[in-house]
Amino acid sequence: MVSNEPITVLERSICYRGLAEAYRSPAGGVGILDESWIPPPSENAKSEFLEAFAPAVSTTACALYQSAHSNREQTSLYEELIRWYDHFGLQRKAKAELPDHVSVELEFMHFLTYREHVSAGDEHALTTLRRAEKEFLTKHLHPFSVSILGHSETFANRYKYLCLEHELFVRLHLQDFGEI
Amino acid sequence: MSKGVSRRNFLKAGALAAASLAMPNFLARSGVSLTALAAETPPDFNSSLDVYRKHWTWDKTVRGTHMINCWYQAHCAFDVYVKDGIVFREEQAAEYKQLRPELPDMNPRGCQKGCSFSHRMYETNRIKHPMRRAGGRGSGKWEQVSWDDALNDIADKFIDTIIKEGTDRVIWDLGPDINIGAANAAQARLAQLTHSICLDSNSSNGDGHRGAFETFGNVYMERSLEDYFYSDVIIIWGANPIFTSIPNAHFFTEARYNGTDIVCISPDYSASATKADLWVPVKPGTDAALALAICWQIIDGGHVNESFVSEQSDLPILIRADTGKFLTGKDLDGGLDSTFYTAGSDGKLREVDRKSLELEGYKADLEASLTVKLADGKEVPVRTVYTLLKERLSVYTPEAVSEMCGTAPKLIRRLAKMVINAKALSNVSGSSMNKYFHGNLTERAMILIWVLLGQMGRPGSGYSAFGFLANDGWEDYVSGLRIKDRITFGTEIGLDLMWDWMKGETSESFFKKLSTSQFTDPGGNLPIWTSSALFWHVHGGVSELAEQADKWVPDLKKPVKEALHESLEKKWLPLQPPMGKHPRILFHYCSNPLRSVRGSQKLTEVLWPKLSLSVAIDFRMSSTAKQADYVLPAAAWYEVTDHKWVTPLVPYNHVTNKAVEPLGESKPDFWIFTMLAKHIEERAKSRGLDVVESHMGKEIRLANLYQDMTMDGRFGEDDLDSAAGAILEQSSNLSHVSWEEQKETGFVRYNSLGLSPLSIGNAGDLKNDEPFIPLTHHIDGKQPYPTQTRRIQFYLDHPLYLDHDEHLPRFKAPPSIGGDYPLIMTGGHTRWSVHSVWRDNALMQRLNRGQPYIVMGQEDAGTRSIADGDWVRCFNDVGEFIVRAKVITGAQPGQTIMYHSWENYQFAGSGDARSVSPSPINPVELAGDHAHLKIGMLEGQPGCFDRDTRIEIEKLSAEDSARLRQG
Ligand code: SF4
Repeated sequence: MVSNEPITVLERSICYRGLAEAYRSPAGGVGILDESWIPPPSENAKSEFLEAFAPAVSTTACALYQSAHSNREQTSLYEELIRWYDHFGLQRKAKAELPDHVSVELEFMHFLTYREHVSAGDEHALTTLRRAEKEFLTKHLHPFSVSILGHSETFANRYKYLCLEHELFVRLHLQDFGEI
Repeated sequence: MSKGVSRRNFLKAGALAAASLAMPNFLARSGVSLTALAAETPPDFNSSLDVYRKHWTWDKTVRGTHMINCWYQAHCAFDVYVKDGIVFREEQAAEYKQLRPELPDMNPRGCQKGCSFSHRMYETNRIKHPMRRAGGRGSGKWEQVSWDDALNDIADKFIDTIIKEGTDRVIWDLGPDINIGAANAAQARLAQLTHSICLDSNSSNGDGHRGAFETFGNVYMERSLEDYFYSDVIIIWGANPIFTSIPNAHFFTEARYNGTDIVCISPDYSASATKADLWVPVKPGTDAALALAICWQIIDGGHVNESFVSEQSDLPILIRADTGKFLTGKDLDGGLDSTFYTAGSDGKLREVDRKSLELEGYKADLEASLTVKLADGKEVPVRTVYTLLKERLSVYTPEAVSEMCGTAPKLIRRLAKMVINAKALSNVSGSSMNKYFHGNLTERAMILIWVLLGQMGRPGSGYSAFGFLANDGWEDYVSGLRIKDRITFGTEIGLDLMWDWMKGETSESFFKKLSTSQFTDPGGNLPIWTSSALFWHVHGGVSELAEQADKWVPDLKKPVKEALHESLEKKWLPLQPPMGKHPRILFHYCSNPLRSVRGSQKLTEVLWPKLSLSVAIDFRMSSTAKQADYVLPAAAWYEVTDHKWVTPLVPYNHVTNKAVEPLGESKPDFWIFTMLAKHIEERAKSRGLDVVESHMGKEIRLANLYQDMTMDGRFGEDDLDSAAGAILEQSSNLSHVSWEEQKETGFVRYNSLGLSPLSIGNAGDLKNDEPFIPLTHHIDGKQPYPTQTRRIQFYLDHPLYLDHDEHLPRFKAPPSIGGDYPLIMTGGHTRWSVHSVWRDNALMQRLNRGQPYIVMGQEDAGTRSIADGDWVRCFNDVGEFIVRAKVITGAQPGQTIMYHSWENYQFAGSGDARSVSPSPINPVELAGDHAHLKIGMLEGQPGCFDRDTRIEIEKLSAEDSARLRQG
């Protein structure tokens, strides 16, 4: 069932959270993401997930780190991302994923959009946040998502759809901004 | 409401009800809750430039190093820069003190590989979670599992195996990266508590320095780097330090400020040859001939240092003409077969003093030739080792040798003159010679130069073989620091030690004995070791590849396999588990045998099917990890606090501090071994098991394993830091500086060699303000050597050596290993790899061709219509592999260079560089039942050889090349 109602900011934020979780573990995000959007994990999900996203074990896998998809030096990318997170008051936890992991970037978008949700009515805050979202998606998450999608041809169903829908979701979000 | 995006069914019903922030990777920098942070007014943001306005600061810097086997170049202190729990960069610490104003200092130590570790540790082949195989071995199908699940399953299989088949079926395959620190101590303690077997990898690495072992009874002899400044002539021979000793190399080149000449002897115009004053090209594998030509020039020209060789070597000792064996006390009067004789110019025999080298004015006749009457009344002629040597060497004239090694007679004479006239002669050691089948003969010939000239034990003068310097608290820790452990150690080993000292043995001899006993029946709670070369040959099936060795090696007395079985049956060499008892569990720790073992294709074919479990403990996915059943993610070097052995070249203990938390679920090795003990204990208890008996009859207290492992809770799984400190506190050579201070400075100078069997053979005084010179305890202190004759020994009267005419140094042409093919495949390390840990590092790959290649000379390439960059097939009788060709001008005709360490999966096709190297065992290296030709830690074991591998190379067809280019 597809509804034509526009997505709310909070819904978008929860979608980002669900996508972040889906990239974190084989069955991540199942409590959040609708199965008609992202297929549920199969009984082989544990190995399918590694086959899709662990270059250490599979030559056809796609790395989920932006630095592996970019010509930039790893540390300069880390620095920029940490600066982004820091600018919005966030600090990486000691046992966290690396700052350029797709789940971390999605989590950051979850935070920005959540903040947008709670800032409803504060036009200055909303403009600031939307500008940041647009810039972050343009510079980081969207090109990264496109690159991930380019590797997904051979992935098991759930992960192929995850890459496809994630890219589409990010692209549509970008289109949503228009001129800020 | 948002505009354009329509609400499809993105979210599950109910997902919105629980709509809250969930951010496992972040916290608020200000310390408030994330929800509170979200409610704050956001900071201004106009463009991404805004995020760059804040001044960048580091959260901390700590001292660190790399727990890898850099061997001769180990180790270097670094500052490690941390921000938000991530290591961003490292920088050379450069605080090593200059020893003397005239000497170069160590600063700044480091190489480009170490400088890229912050990048390496975050590369995409980092393993972050325990993984279990989900398909066939090597199928590439894995699943993530919890630590509990992994350790329980491994513990169950461990218990099943030791109960059903014995503790010797569990093998710890230890690679050269073991640190002799706390991580490796935990592994060794678990091995000793369970009486499982540790593999000594030095033999299969081909780093055995067999020639030094045969001659000195010991391979450990290395100077400190500063001492090179006092050398008159430095010979780089069997090494390529410009590639492999990057932090050290400036010492050799800077010595030229002091007038030092650098000679490089190598087949190719290597990176080190470009820095030499004299390059001596030699055909691969013929260095022994060149060395013996120099020896002959020394003898023939009357340059032998007679007082040195009479005192320090076996050259004046008498040999029976009838048997070719040493004349012994047993021969003469039924006395000891360890009593040997020299003769004075008056023809009178004199016993060789076993307790001292001091001659007290006595002058032996180096060329004595006489007849002696034996106890049975028989009269036999005897002659000195020197006389026999002189006769043997007389054929090695420059002209004759030029035919053998390809070096011009004039150049041989020039080299000999330089060597003879040098006031202080040294060498830069590497492990290349050991990787030739007759590398032992080469090294004996090389050592002979230094001994004939008495060029040892003085500043800038001496032969270097194998470098190793370690703390001596490690064995204490492994055997246990509790009172009851000390009592066991004291009664089983301490009494033996006291008895040896009372007999006048040197501590070097005692610790050598201890090192040997660890391969047979170690007392004092020490772990049991076995030779990795023997293990892979016998249990891994590698010896099957060498069944044609009789065709390849001209003067074998019997097939290699037969010689191997004979040696094992006679117990000349111990092997655990013995032949016929299959290994069942392999733990790969700091090891990657499917990449490194010559002929490793046999391992998956022969050994792997016998295994019920293979576990790789690593931080990255190696060729071996890919074939394992479990991969356990180990913390990287900047994620742990520990310390690491070095060599006397750089006599500083190096410490790495935990800069950041281990990535993902990875854990320090120390944690993994301790937790495995805990799980074994728990599973044993749940199965009602208490004590089982080891294959050697020792009680294995399964129900107390964790308690024993942690020494009653003192060193639990999270106590790596204190365990590392405890090891140093136990060390006689490193306890002079507190652990806290060592962590802070990152390096501290050893104050003595200590008593570790891995260091004591250096036999010199390591002082705080002087370059270290090895073997002075023998040369100045007149302590005997740990050999059969107690002298530097060139004559080996073991039957295997006599049978193969190797009782004295000689030259034997390199055999055609792999078949009768025209090209010889030499090898070595590159400056971008040294070991496979760096081979697929993206930064290092950018600095060279980034994929496997074989180096060949223009002429050989031209006759095969091969151009630089072409895809080629390299093959011989045992295998093949496909690589690109790199065509250079500096290789000898007939020489190819396959630089090593490429992972198997970096090769196109199924073969890799090891596929063509069957590495037959050299039968003389199977010797045993001898006073000094016996197994010990890192020495006295058969080697592995690949440098005389013969191959042919052909260009791939255009279609195959196009396919590979696309692939
Ligand atoms: S030589 Fe070894 S310890 Fe030194 S920087 Fe290089 S990798 Fe690190």
